[in-house]
Amino acid sequence: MTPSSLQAGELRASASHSGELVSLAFAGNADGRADSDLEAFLHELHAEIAALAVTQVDVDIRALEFMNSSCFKGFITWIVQVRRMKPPSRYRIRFLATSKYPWQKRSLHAISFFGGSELIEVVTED
Amino acid sequence: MLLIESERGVIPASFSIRFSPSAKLIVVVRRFVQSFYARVLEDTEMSSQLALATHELLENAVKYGTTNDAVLGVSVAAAAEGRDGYDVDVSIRNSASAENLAEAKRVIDALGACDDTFAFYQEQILIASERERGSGLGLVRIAAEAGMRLALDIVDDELEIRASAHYTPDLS
Repeated sequence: MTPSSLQAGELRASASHSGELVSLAFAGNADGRADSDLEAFLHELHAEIAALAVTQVDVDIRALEFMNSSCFKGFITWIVQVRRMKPPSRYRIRFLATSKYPWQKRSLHAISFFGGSELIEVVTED
Repeated sequence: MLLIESERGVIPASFSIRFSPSAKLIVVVRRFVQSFYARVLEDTEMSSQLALATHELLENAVKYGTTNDAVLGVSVAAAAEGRDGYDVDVSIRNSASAENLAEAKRVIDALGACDDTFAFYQEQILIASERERGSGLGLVRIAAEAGMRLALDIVDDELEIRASAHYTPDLS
Protein backbone atom coordinates (compact mmCIF):
# COMPACT_ATOMS: atom_id res chain seq x y z
CA MET A 1 0.00 0.00 0.00
CA THR A 2 1.06 3.60 -0.50
CA PRO A 3 1.72 4.99 2.03
CA SER A 4 2.76 1.79 3.77
CA SER A 5 4.46 3.29 6.78
CA LEU A 6 4.78 6.39 8.91
CA GLN A 7 7.44 7.60 11.29
CA ALA A 8 6.73 10.90 13.03
CA GLY A 9 8.21 11.87 16.36
CA GLU A 10 7.87 8.74 18.48
CA LEU A 11 4.94 7.41 16.44
CA ARG A 12 5.39 4.49 14.07
CA ALA A 13 2.69 3.09 11.82
CA SER A 14 2.54 0.48 9.10
CA ALA A 15 -0.14 -0.67 6.67
CA SER A 16 -0.68 -3.86 4.71
CA HIS A 17 -3.40 -5.21 2.45
CA SER A 18 -4.59 -8.76 1.92
CA GLY A 19 -7.82 -9.54 0.09
CA GLU A 20 -10.73 -7.70 1.71
CA LEU A 21 -8.70 -6.72 4.77
CA VAL A 22 -6.35 -3.82 5.40
CA SER A 23 -4.27 -3.96 8.58
CA LEU A 24 -2.82 -0.91 10.28
CA ALA A 25 -0.49 -1.13 13.25
CA PHE A 26 0.51 1.79 15.47
CA ALA A 27 3.26 1.90 18.06
CA GLY A 28 4.97 4.46 20.28
CA ASN A 29 3.57 7.88 21.14
CA ALA A 30 1.06 9.85 19.09
CA ASP A 31 1.64 13.38 20.29
CA GLY A 32 2.13 16.93 19.09
CA ARG A 33 5.05 15.92 16.89
CA ALA A 34 2.93 13.51 14.87
CA ASP A 35 -0.58 14.95 14.51
CA SER A 36 -0.24 16.54 11.06
CA ASP A 37 1.63 13.56 9.60
CA LEU A 38 -0.87 11.11 11.12
CA GLU A 39 -3.85 12.96 9.68
CA ALA A 40 -2.22 13.08 6.23
CA PHE A 41 -1.30 9.37 6.49
CA LEU A 42 -4.87 8.36 7.32
CA HIS A 43 -6.27 10.64 4.61
CA GLU A 44 -4.05 9.08 1.92
CA LEU A 45 -4.74 5.58 3.16
CA HIS A 46 -8.47 6.19 3.08
CA ALA A 47 -8.26 7.32 -0.55
CA GLU A 48 -6.41 4.14 -1.46
CA ILE A 49 -8.65 1.86 0.59
CA ALA A 50 -11.74 3.41 -0.99
CA ALA A 51 -10.46 2.30 -4.39
CA LEU A 52 -10.02 -1.30 -3.23
CA ALA A 53 -12.63 -3.96 -2.51
CA VAL A 54 -11.94 -3.75 1.21
CA THR A 55 -14.63 -4.56 3.77
CA GLN A 56 -12.66 -4.13 6.98
CA VAL A 57 -9.67 -2.25 8.33
CA ASP A 58 -8.02 -3.59 11.46
CA VAL A 59 -6.32 -0.89 13.52
CA ASP A 60 -3.94 -2.44 16.01
CA ILE A 61 -3.07 0.10 18.72
CA ARG A 62 -1.90 -2.39 21.34
CA ALA A 63 1.62 -0.99 21.15
CA LEU A 64 0.47 2.63 21.19
CA GLU A 65 1.51 3.98 24.57
CA PHE A 66 -0.40 7.24 24.32
CA MET A 67 -2.43 9.36 21.92
CA ASN A 68 -3.05 13.05 22.46
CA SER A 69 -6.20 14.93 21.49
CA SER A 70 -4.72 16.26 18.24
CA CYS A 71 -3.92 12.75 17.01
CA PHE A 72 -7.30 11.59 18.32
CA LYS A 73 -8.77 14.16 15.95
CA GLY A 74 -6.91 12.49 13.06
CA PHE A 75 -8.86 9.29 13.68
CA ILE A 76 -12.11 11.22 14.02
CA THR A 77 -11.55 12.93 10.67
CA TRP A 78 -10.89 9.55 9.07
CA ILE A 79 -14.07 8.07 10.56
CA VAL A 80 -16.09 10.99 9.21
CA GLN A 81 -14.65 10.28 5.75
CA VAL A 82 -15.74 6.64 6.01
CA ARG A 83 -19.20 7.63 7.28
CA ARG A 84 -19.66 9.80 4.20
CA MET A 85 -19.08 6.87 1.86
CA LYS A 86 -22.12 5.18 0.35
CA PRO A 87 -22.93 2.01 2.33
CA PRO A 88 -22.01 -0.53 -0.39
CA SER A 89 -18.43 0.74 -0.52
CA ARG A 90 -18.13 1.67 3.16
CA TYR A 91 -15.75 -0.44 5.24
CA ARG A 92 -15.77 -1.32 8.92
CA ILE A 93 -12.99 -0.29 11.29
CA ARG A 94 -11.99 -2.71 14.02
CA PHE A 95 -9.71 -1.39 16.75
CA LEU A 96 -7.51 -3.90 18.53
CA ALA A 97 -6.67 -2.48 21.96
CA THR A 98 -5.09 -3.52 25.23
CA SER A 99 -6.07 -2.97 28.86
CA LYS A 100 -2.36 -2.40 29.54
CA TYR A 101 -2.93 1.21 28.50
CA PRO A 102 -6.18 2.34 30.22
CA TRP A 103 -6.56 5.47 28.06
CA GLN A 104 -7.33 3.20 25.10
CA LYS A 105 -10.59 1.96 26.62
CA ARG A 106 -11.81 5.48 27.39
CA SER A 107 -10.78 7.01 24.05
CA LEU A 108 -12.12 4.11 22.01
CA HIS A 109 -15.42 4.31 23.86
CA ALA A 110 -15.73 7.92 22.68
CA ILE A 111 -14.61 7.02 19.14
CA SER A 112 -16.93 4.04 18.81
CA PHE A 113 -19.90 6.03 20.11
CA PHE A 114 -19.10 8.75 17.60
CA GLY A 115 -18.67 6.34 14.68
CA GLY A 116 -21.55 4.05 15.60
CA SER A 117 -21.58 0.30 16.08
CA GLU A 118 -22.23 -0.37 12.39
CA LEU A 119 -18.91 1.23 11.56
CA ILE A 120 -16.67 0.73 14.58
CA GLU A 121 -15.80 -2.37 16.56
CA VAL A 122 -13.41 -2.48 19.51
CA VAL A 123 -11.67 -5.63 20.66
CA THR A 124 -9.70 -5.27 23.88
CA GLU A 125 -7.32 -7.88 25.16
CA ASP A 126 -6.35 -8.21 28.82
CA MET B 1 2.56 17.08 57.58
CA LEU B 2 0.14 14.20 58.00
CA LEU B 3 1.17 11.09 56.15
CA ILE B 4 -1.36 8.39 55.52
CA GLU B 5 0.42 5.08 55.23
CA SER B 6 -1.49 2.10 54.02
CA GLU B 7 -1.15 -0.86 51.75
CA ARG B 8 -1.93 1.60 48.98
CA GLY B 9 1.12 3.73 49.58
CA VAL B 10 1.96 6.99 51.23
CA ILE B 11 -0.26 10.05 50.91
CA PRO B 12 0.25 12.96 50.31
CA ALA B 13 2.39 12.60 47.22
CA SER B 14 2.77 15.89 45.42
CA PHE B 15 5.28 17.73 43.30
CA SER B 16 5.64 20.92 41.31
CA ILE B 17 8.07 21.68 38.52
CA ARG B 18 8.78 24.80 36.45
CA PHE B 19 10.31 23.97 33.10
CA SER B 20 10.13 24.56 29.37
CA PRO B 21 7.74 21.85 28.19
CA SER B 22 9.03 20.69 24.81
CA ALA B 23 7.28 17.75 23.14
CA LYS B 24 10.09 15.39 24.17
CA LEU B 25 9.95 16.50 27.81
CA ILE B 26 6.16 16.23 27.95
CA VAL B 27 6.46 12.51 27.22
CA VAL B 28 9.07 12.14 29.97
CA VAL B 29 6.92 13.96 32.53
CA ARG B 30 3.78 12.05 31.55
CA ARG B 31 5.61 8.73 31.99
CA PHE B 32 6.90 9.87 35.37
CA VAL B 33 3.41 10.87 36.54
CA GLN B 34 1.95 7.60 35.34
CA SER B 35 4.56 5.32 36.89
CA PHE B 36 4.95 7.34 40.12
CA TYR B 37 1.24 7.51 40.89
CA ALA B 38 0.67 3.93 39.76
CA ARG B 39 3.07 2.99 42.56
CA VAL B 40 1.69 5.47 45.10
CA LEU B 41 -1.99 4.69 44.48
CA GLU B 42 -1.52 1.15 43.28
CA ASP B 43 -4.13 1.98 40.70
CA THR B 44 -3.16 2.02 37.02
CA GLU B 45 -6.55 3.45 35.99
CA MET B 46 -6.22 6.52 38.22
CA SER B 47 -2.56 7.07 37.38
CA SER B 48 -3.45 6.85 33.68
CA GLN B 49 -6.07 9.58 34.15
CA LEU B 50 -3.54 11.80 35.91
CA ALA B 51 -1.07 11.15 33.10
CA LEU B 52 -3.64 12.07 30.45
CA ALA B 53 -4.49 15.32 32.23
CA THR B 54 -0.78 16.09 32.63
CA HIS B 55 -0.05 15.53 28.94
CA GLU B 56 -3.01 17.53 27.63
CA LEU B 57 -2.40 20.47 29.99
CA LEU B 58 1.30 20.58 29.11
CA GLU B 59 0.58 20.48 25.38
CA ASN B 60 -1.93 23.29 25.87
CA ALA B 61 0.81 25.33 27.53
CA VAL B 62 3.15 24.69 24.59
CA LYS B 63 0.55 25.55 21.96
CA TYR B 64 -1.00 28.58 23.59
CA GLY B 65 1.61 29.93 25.99
CA THR B 66 3.27 33.23 25.22
CA THR B 67 6.56 32.27 26.89
CA ASN B 68 8.57 29.05 27.00
CA ASP B 69 8.10 28.04 30.59
CA ALA B 70 5.24 26.63 32.64
CA VAL B 71 4.64 25.38 36.15
CA LEU B 72 3.15 21.92 36.46
CA GLY B 73 1.77 20.77 39.78
CA VAL B 74 0.43 17.32 40.59
CA SER B 75 -1.05 16.58 43.98
CA VAL B 76 -2.62 13.58 45.66
CA ALA B 77 -3.73 14.38 49.21
CA ALA B 78 -6.07 13.00 51.82
CA ALA B 79 -9.61 14.23 51.31
CA ALA B 80 -10.94 16.89 53.62
CA GLU B 81 -12.09 15.75 57.03
CA GLY B 82 -15.24 13.71 56.92
CA ARG B 83 -14.60 12.27 53.48
CA ASP B 84 -12.95 9.03 52.51
CA GLY B 85 -10.33 8.77 49.83
CA TYR B 86 -8.06 11.28 48.16
CA ASP B 87 -8.27 14.55 46.31
CA VAL B 88 -6.22 14.51 43.13
CA ASP B 89 -5.22 17.64 41.31
CA VAL B 90 -3.21 18.51 38.19
CA SER B 91 -2.51 22.17 37.40
CA ILE B 92 -0.60 24.06 34.75
CA ARG B 93 0.35 27.70 35.06
CA ASN B 94 1.86 29.76 32.27
CA SER B 95 1.54 33.06 30.52
CA ALA B 96 -1.23 33.27 27.96
CA SER B 97 -2.63 35.85 25.59
CA ALA B 98 -6.02 37.41 26.31
CA GLU B 99 -7.40 35.50 23.33
CA ASN B 100 -6.22 32.13 24.64
CA LEU B 101 -7.40 32.93 28.14
CA ALA B 102 -10.85 33.76 26.77
CA GLU B 103 -10.95 30.51 24.78
CA ALA B 104 -9.96 28.41 27.80
CA LYS B 105 -12.59 30.20 29.88
CA ARG B 106 -15.23 29.58 27.23
CA VAL B 107 -14.52 25.83 27.19
CA ILE B 108 -14.32 25.50 30.98
CA ASP B 109 -17.51 27.51 31.48
CA ALA B 110 -19.31 25.35 28.91
CA LEU B 111 -18.12 22.21 30.67
CA GLY B 112 -19.30 23.57 33.99
CA ALA B 113 -22.72 24.40 32.58
CA CYS B 114 -23.39 21.14 30.76
CA ASP B 115 -25.39 18.34 32.37
CA ASP B 116 -23.80 15.52 30.40
CA THR B 117 -20.05 15.73 29.89
CA PHE B 118 -19.94 12.77 27.52
CA ALA B 119 -22.69 14.24 25.29
CA PHE B 120 -20.80 17.55 25.27
CA TYR B 121 -17.62 15.65 24.34
CA GLN B 122 -19.42 14.04 21.41
CA GLU B 123 -20.59 17.47 20.20
CA GLN B 124 -17.03 18.78 20.42
CA ILE B 125 -15.67 15.74 18.57
CA LEU B 126 -18.03 16.50 15.69
CA ILE B 127 -16.92 20.14 15.68
CA ALA B 128 -13.26 19.04 15.83
CA SER B 129 -13.70 16.88 12.72
CA GLU B 130 -14.43 20.04 10.73
CA ARG B 131 -11.61 22.15 12.15
CA GLU B 132 -8.68 23.00 9.89
CA ARG B 133 -6.18 23.49 12.71
CA GLY B 134 -5.98 21.92 16.14
CA SER B 135 -8.63 19.80 17.75
CA GLY B 136 -9.91 22.01 20.56
CA LEU B 137 -10.48 18.77 22.45
CA GLY B 138 -7.69 18.76 25.05
CA LEU B 139 -9.60 20.24 27.99
CA VAL B 140 -12.86 18.48 27.14
CA ARG B 141 -11.01 15.18 26.94
CA ILE B 142 -9.67 15.68 30.47
CA ALA B 143 -13.22 16.18 31.73
CA ALA B 144 -14.83 13.41 29.70
CA GLU B 145 -12.16 10.71 29.71
CA ALA B 146 -10.35 11.39 32.99
CA GLY B 147 -13.51 12.45 34.81
CA MET B 148 -11.89 15.57 36.23
CA ARG B 149 -13.42 18.97 36.96
CA LEU B 150 -11.72 21.96 35.37
CA ALA B 151 -11.22 25.42 36.81
CA LEU B 152 -9.35 28.49 35.69
CA ASP B 153 -7.67 31.24 37.65
CA ILE B 154 -5.16 34.03 37.23
CA VAL B 155 -2.14 33.63 39.52
CA ASP B 156 0.65 36.21 39.47
CA ASP B 157 -0.51 37.39 36.03
CA GLU B 158 -0.35 33.85 34.67
CA LEU B 159 -3.17 31.58 33.56
CA GLU B 160 -3.66 28.56 35.78
CA ILE B 161 -5.84 25.67 34.66
CA ARG B 162 -6.60 23.08 37.30
CA ALA B 163 -8.06 19.60 36.82
CA SER B 164 -9.37 18.00 40.00
CA ALA B 165 -11.11 14.83 41.07
CA HIS B 166 -12.05 12.98 44.20
CA TYR B 167 -10.84 9.43 44.29
CA THR B 168 -12.05 6.66 46.54
CA PRO B 169 -9.92 3.51 46.33
CA ASP B 170 -11.66 0.23 45.72
CA LEU B 171 -10.52 -1.72 48.76
CA SER B 172 -12.34 -4.91 47.81
